[in-house]
Amino acid sequence: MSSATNITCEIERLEKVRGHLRERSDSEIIDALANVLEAFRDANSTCRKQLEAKLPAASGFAPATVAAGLELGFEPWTGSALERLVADELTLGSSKVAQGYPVTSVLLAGSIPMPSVLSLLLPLVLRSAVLCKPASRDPVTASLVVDTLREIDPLLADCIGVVPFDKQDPAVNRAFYTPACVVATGSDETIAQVDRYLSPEQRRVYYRHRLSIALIDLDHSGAATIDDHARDLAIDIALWDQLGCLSPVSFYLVGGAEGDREKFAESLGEALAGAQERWPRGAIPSETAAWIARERTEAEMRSALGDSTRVIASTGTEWTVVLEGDTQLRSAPLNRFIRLIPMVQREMIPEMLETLAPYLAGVALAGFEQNREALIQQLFAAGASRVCAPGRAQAPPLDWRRDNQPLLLGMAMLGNRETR
Amino acid sequence: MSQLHETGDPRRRELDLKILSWMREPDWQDDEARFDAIACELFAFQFEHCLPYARFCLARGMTPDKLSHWSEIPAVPTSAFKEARLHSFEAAATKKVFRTSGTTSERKGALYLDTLSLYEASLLPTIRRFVFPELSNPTQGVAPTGKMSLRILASDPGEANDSSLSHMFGVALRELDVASDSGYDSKSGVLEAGSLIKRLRCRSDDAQTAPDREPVALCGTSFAFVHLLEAFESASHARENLALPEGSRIMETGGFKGRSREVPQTELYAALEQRLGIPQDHIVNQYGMTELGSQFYDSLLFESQTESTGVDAPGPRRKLGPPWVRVRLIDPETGALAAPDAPGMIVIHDLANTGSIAALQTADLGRLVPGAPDGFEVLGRASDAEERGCSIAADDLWQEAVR
Repeated sequence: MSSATNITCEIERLEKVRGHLRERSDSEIIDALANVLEAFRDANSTCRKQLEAKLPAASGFAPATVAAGLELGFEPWTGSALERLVADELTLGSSKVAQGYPVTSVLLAGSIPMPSVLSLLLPLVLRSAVLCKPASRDPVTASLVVDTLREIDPLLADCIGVVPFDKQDPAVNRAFYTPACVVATGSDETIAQVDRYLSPEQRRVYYRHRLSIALIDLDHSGAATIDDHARDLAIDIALWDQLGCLSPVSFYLVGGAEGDREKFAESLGEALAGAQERWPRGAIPSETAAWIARERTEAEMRSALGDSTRVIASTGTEWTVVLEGDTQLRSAPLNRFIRLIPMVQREMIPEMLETLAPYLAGVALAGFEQNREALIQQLFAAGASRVCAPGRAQAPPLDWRRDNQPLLLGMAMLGNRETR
Repeated sequence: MSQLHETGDPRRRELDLKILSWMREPDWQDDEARFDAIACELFAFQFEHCLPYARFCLARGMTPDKLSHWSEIPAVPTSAFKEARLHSFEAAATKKVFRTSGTTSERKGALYLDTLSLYEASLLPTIRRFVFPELSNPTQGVAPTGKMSLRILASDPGEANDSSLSHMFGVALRELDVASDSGYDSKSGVLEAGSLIKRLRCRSDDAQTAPDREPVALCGTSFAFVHLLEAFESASHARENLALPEGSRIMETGGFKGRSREVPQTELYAALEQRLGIPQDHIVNQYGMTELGSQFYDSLLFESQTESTGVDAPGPRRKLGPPWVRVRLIDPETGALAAPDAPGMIVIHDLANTGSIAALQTADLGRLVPGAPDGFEVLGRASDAEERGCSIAADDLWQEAVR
């Protein structure tokens, strides 16, 4: 664990070494970072193999789930995707400039490695050194990024400092949040805590906890399509065990009759049972297992009280499908626990979106061939930052505007260069 | 004490009498066969008289004719008391309704009762045994050692008519042999901390000159004690540490729900010991809930009174209850009993719940604490939010929705 003094020294070192980046052209830096991404995309690379080997023990995910999650997640993150992102956001014309701050503090969170990889690399695009606190459930990724970068460009690797520390220690926190730019990911409570350490002059980029959903059009789905949707959506649930903000926590079954909803619930149950065979769910604490068990019992009780709630589940707590009898919001234990919420008419979608809006991240759309564009616009207007096909929730593009924000510009100082 | 209801089903009356008779026996016998017989009979009665419960049991494939042991009786989640009126008597016979705590807009659970006789008959011997083992108690055969001043840090039952906790304190004040200066230190839900501290200061001063002064018992929610400590922090009391008469004690029970501040129990107990001079083995936590007719208490105070209770030596702090209640710690993965050293969901089977449902699945996790007899500790509920990952937003959203 780093002390406040260690962190202050590390910031001084980063400021110094960052000065040497003058020796690098923009394209050299971007090429190096693109090569890091390509290394993580390659299932046979050292960094990928190490990530697959070390992450399960640190995070609790099953090895097969980690392997499948990394394969799908890194698939779109090519070197050229990074080049396109840079071109999209930083091609400002000759009259404008974008510069990074000398050092960016990056607070990582969660146990899914892809967002951590990106959070460490992107400040370097702006020639900002990175001071990073790894997430407690993923102490692996940050060091692997540095090691991989060191093999490609040692100077750039020197521009990342990884400083695990006790987040309860105010002195260490004060030191960590000294740099002029701070990027933090976490719950509203965490973000509020971070914010208390910052002065008004500091640049802050926050990524808050979000949730994702799926909308399934049962009015225009035949039996075969229902099975296809269920199979694809089971992938969205199973990979990373619903612990990422792009993992759907509930599916809204739009239209259809009771029989269609039951058919979908059964298909999804079968698909999740199959997913459990291929990608077992990770270990969960007793509290979470108890939470799942309790939610199941409560659903059974609602069914006994006369509504049409139905529970389809594994014998243990590995996966659970609750076909709800109403649209009431209920607690989400995650870890492959999915609620299917009946929405008799498409007209009910706006009301649902209004409730979810403050937290919405991604939406998987299954079906909805009619008026699809209007629905997508509705979703974006409600705050969704991503609409995707079933089975693609865990494969966001590199330039996904997480929390509806630009990826690079938020960390940059922008200016206008005038000629007269 | 409340009288047994005189109307209603004769089978129910017979069951109530059997259980009341057990509750009134001077010696607590852990009689498994007796518990099993009554529990199975009570299950058959509740299955017949509470339709939602019967449906729940049928969905789990359990009917009275299939039952071979009380532990097979399906337990309903305590949250079900928010969804429906779960009672085993005609609605018109309702005499009392206790509601769970929570914010004003949150849906509250409700326990409907057609009699308070079992409720009170269960609470009295239990609170006597674990909180006031020295008080005069002819039915328990424990010698009296003098009266005690009982101060309640909660509203009186007249103000909080639907609070089971206030009712319990009211019964304790009425039925226990306490000193005449006993009473309430809260009005309209607000702790009158200033006057309470003044009163306690007098007791503390008296104790210095008259060591045989009767002790004080303070009873209230955990949050009420936090509030009392905060009052001590104020300028006028900041340096004041009291030394209440020997034998003084605290009974505190869960009560942080909807509050902005929670204090770890170890921190709370250390602060109470320092401020009031009450040793930690005289601070008793009660584990109970509105949906239950009986309660559990920490063992320490009872077991520290080795002379009057006949206990050889105090065991570890653990929750103990009366013999008409059973606790099972259930492995959430298998539904079977949790391994002895593993956490399990706390499932309670309380024979005092004749009018509602006897088998309840709580929202809490617990762990077995070996002793003589074995007890349990309550471990709490949800895991660390930060560890749960990004989709914690789902729960935030739900919390927002129920607020």
